[in-house]
Amino acid sequence: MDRELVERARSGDHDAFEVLAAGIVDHCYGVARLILRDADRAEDAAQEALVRCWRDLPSLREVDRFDAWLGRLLMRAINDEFRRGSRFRANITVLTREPSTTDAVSTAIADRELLERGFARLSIEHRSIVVLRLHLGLSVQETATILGIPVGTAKSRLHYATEALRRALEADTEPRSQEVSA
Amino acid sequence: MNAGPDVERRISSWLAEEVPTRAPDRILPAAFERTRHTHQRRFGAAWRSITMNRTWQLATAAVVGVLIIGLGAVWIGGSGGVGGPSGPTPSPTPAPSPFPSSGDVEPGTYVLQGSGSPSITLTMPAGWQSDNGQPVKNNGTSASLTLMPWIVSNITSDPCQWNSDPALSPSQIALLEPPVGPTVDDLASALAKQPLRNATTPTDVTIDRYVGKSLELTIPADLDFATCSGGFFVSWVGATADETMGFAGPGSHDRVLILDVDGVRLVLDAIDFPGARAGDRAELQAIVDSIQIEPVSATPSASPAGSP
Repeated sequence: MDRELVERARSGDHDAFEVLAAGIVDHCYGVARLILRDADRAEDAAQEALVRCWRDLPSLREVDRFDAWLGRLLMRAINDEFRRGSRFRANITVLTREPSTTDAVSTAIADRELLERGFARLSIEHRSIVVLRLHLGLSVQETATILGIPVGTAKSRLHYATEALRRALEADTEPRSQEVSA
Repeated sequence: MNAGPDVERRISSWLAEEVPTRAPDRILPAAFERTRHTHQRRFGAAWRSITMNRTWQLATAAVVGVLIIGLGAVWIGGSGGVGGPSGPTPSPTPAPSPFPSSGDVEPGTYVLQGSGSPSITLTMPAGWQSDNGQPVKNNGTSASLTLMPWIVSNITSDPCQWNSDPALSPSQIALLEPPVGPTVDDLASALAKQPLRNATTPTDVTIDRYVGKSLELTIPADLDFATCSGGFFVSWVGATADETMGFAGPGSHDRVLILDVDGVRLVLDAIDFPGARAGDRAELQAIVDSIQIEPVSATPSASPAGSP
């Protein structure tokens, strides 16, 4: 983060903001893409986060906290985008219960398929915490701050999400007879 | 049980593979086009990294609690007249909690409610979860059950070939023409005739004090989902065409309850997927049996009760 750029952008220098935005757009898009699982919607969320960043920069008093502040803006933009389009898309995938067929593929590919499916079934809140913690490597405290939730809630959500993904990964290795034991 | 570092490592590796390294070029010009015409906000509270401390949280909670109790007292007092005699105070009945939006659901009584829809009180056993505000039981495998409330406006003319758009645009859903009529019987008989659903004959049912129709629907076990629009099987839409759900595999079984709740046609869809255990199906039935319904007090709006 370039402190001078942030300060200039905060004081209304649009050229400075353009340089600042060029340095953060890949990050914003990448995080949005991971959480939303949709390129078009990730574009919309990233663009919205940049616009809000420009609009609200004067409210940032502690320039050193720009990264966390931007993270929070981005998560709000992602959440808003998810809510805007979730009714149809979430319901269209919520009932996915296809049997997995990974016998002939590598473990890595199987992992990808199972994680993709498990991740799609997580709520937006759980996806967000997985990306912030396990992709960006933020601490639980940093994650909680960005998401605006207590640390305990962040821990609990992370536990739930990783457990759900662990179950998704293990589902394929469990004997089918266990699925239908009545 | 802890997911463990190996699972976290696998998730991390997967996310690292998935993340795009570069944003599409069009994002920045589009954003700048907007920011050049957007004034910065130079008022309002500044964002700080300070988190609310515990004492302040408790104080805030206390103030909010007092306000709620105060308003409640005014509201309750209003029905008896200001300054009227105060009778014996009835012992308070604990109000059911709103159904959680995600995560494990503790056993207990909850309220499912969507905007403008009847509120549904149900008792949940242990071992269930919430998936976007809907009760779900996952066994970590393909076995699963769920209960979904709906306000159904129309059904698809063909649940497999339900959308002519490869992108599955809601505007391209092939709905029944003319649309399903407004009554419980209209919807029950339309679903009974819907292709590929192997419906049972609708029978009378009463849930809580509301009467309606019940029927069971299945999806053919040999249906090739690859031939369906987007690989999904879609039976109906909610109040608007962008509110729907799709099945992604064959063999599921729906018990559909269609009720007239004081003029609002409420649909409860209790679904069990292939591999659901008999015990879990019994739990789902017990949840359905526990349902109590409160009608919409205001003018009903058309929105699915359980939509996320």
